[in-house]
Amino acid sequence: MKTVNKRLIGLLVLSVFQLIFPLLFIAAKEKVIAEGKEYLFRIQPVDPYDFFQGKYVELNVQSLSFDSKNLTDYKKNEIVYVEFSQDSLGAEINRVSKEKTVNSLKLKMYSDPSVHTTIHFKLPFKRFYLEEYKAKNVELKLARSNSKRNFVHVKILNGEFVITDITSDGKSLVIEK
Amino acid sequence: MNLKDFLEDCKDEKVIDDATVDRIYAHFLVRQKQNHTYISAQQSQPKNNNGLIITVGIIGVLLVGFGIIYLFAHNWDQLSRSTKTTLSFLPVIISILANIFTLTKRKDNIVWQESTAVSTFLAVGSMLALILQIYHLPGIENYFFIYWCALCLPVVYLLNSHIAVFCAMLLILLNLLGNPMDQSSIFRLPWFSSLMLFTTLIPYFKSLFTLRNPERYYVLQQIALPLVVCLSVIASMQAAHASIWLITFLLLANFHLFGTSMFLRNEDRRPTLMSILSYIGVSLSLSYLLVDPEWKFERLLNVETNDYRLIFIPILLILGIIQVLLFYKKEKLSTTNAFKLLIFFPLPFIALDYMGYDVSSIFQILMIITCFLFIHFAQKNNDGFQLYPALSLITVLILSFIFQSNIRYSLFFFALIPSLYYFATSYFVIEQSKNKLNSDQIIILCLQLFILIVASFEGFWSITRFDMNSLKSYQIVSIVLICLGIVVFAYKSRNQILLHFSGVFGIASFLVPFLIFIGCVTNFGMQHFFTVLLLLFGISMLVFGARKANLTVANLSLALIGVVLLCRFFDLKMSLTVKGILFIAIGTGFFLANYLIFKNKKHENS
Repeated sequence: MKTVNKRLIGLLVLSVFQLIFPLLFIAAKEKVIAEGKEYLFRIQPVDPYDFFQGKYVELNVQSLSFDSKNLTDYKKNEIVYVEFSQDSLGAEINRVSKEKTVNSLKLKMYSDPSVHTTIHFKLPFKRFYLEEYKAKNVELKLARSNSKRNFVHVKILNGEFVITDITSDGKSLVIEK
Repeated sequence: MNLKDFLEDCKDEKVIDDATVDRIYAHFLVRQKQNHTYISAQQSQPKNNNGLIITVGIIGVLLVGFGIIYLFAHNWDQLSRSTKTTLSFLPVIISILANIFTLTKRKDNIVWQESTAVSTFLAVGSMLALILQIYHLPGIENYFFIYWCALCLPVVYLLNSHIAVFCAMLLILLNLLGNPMDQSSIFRLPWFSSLMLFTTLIPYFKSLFTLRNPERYYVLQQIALPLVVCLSVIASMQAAHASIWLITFLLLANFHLFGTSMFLRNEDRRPTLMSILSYIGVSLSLSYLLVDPEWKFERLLNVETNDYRLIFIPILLILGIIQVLLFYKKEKLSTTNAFKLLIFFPLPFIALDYMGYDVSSIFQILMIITCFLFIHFAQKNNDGFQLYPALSLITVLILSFIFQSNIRYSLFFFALIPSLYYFATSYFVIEQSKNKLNSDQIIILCLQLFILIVASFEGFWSITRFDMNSLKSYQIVSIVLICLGIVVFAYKSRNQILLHFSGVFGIASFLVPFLIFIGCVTNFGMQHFFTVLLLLFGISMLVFGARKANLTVANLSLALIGVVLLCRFFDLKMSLTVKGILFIAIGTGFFLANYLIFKNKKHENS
């Protein structure tokens, strides 16, 4: 009887963890949505005829480059915090630092600043989940429209991010069918 | 009215007397007891069908789970973000309730335990996947598998589930394929988290391997455990091939030592499944050192930044040495267990290669000698288990020569393989099996015949001319050593070879490589000679099969004659009528020979 009680307590503790962990995750993401600053990143047209990309839109965000002159004391594979500036052509990298700031995004530096003159940062916005048929439509629209005006909307706060929308010519592609 | 009342009534009415009442009632009680035990035995029988019920239960849980997920997915887009997040918790809440029910009401029911444990994995997985989807995050870059596994792994212990262990092992393996972005510190590396999770399974494995109960999971885990561990090294490591090979090799060696250790081995010293599989693995992995003479161990330490897995090389080495020392502390070194030491035979050569010395040639020659010693001791100890890995290593070596030399010599090297197998295994031929072919010998015979058929084509000999330059001197030494080994084994088991099929098979095993070699070194057209030899061989086999009433040999010989004729059909200039008559003759021969042998057998039996 005693072992069953112990196990029951163990199970309850496990259940609490199973519920609290996703709640914390959700809370963190909701905080980013509520308080984060929105940036628009340019996305390139994707091949809409790829049948393997099922229920999501492949975003294919353009990687952003930064001059490595200011990154002399950084190493390859280091985690950095990147701040952005926003203009009509999309977000650009403004500053790279080792410390977390309010509107910075956590990124990994894949290339070595001592070797390359410009560092290309790969952005972690890769997929936008949509219903299967909708996703195909969105991909078609992205492919047809002018690539300069396709953006993915990302809210950034304390190194974290949440993708909120994708727009083409200022119109959201998610809400309309 | 029960029986006792009825009997009392009969007594009162003077139908039967007192003594009869007692006798009838006593007999009734005995029968009732017997009947009771029979019913309870019948009731306990379905427990043996637990495996089926568990399987069906788990399939049911899977189907219901997927059905619910599908229903949500269909209307997913219409829901608001808050509804989506709330709904994604639903499967986990259901699984928690099911777990509590199992633990309180069905605590001894294996079906409930296993099904709810599996449903926990599914529920947590779908919840995490849904939440990641809501926030548009790809799972593989966000420690998805590690969170999933960590949140579910305790059910292994809480619900005593064995199937949950397989789920956890799968997730641990999948985690290695993930590529989280911030691999900056050691505890965040996928392999390190996988390792940590795996260590939590060690108490389970300890109890399973000590108690060996339930047996099916004990046997299954002997396969699954080495497989998952080795796969995880191969699948995830981004380093030089040499270092991945070395870690896999050391892992397999350790598994083998563990499989034969006091802890795991069977009481009757039968090899365990784990020891057999890992021994085969060790032998196969050695072929890496034999096929390519450039080992490239000097690049051993070239690993991607932040991957500290090379630390396993010394750890595994020390672990292996400790296991060997522990073993020899209790057991005396003898020819039956010397192979435990020989597992570490390649390591000094690897060290020398790392330091820049080219030792592959010496390793190759020493390897051949060691393999022959192995075969010798295996024959002496009557242990087929050790014979085949040694033979397979020599085969790999011979095959590696085939790709490095010209095609004529390739056939000669290839011809050595069946002869070696025949002479090494003929040691075990006994009086009862002297006129029979076992499956190994049938394969050997077919290979020899195949070689002779290839050699009987004129086109084969005209492809290339005699050229010895393509082989290096140490490779020639190796080939000479192998030939010597064949002769020694033939001499060792000469009595058995002469007994088996009156020595015909043995003579053929000598003749085939020898004649091919003659063909290689002379420019004389040997193809007709091989055709005649094949026909002679076929006819002598046919006569032998008919005499000893051996259907296998008789049919093999007829098939051989048929194939030879078919081959000559294309390159002999004969009229079609003659060819047709020849084929009809062979077909009739098939029928006649089988008929005669059957008749003989019937006659003998009657």
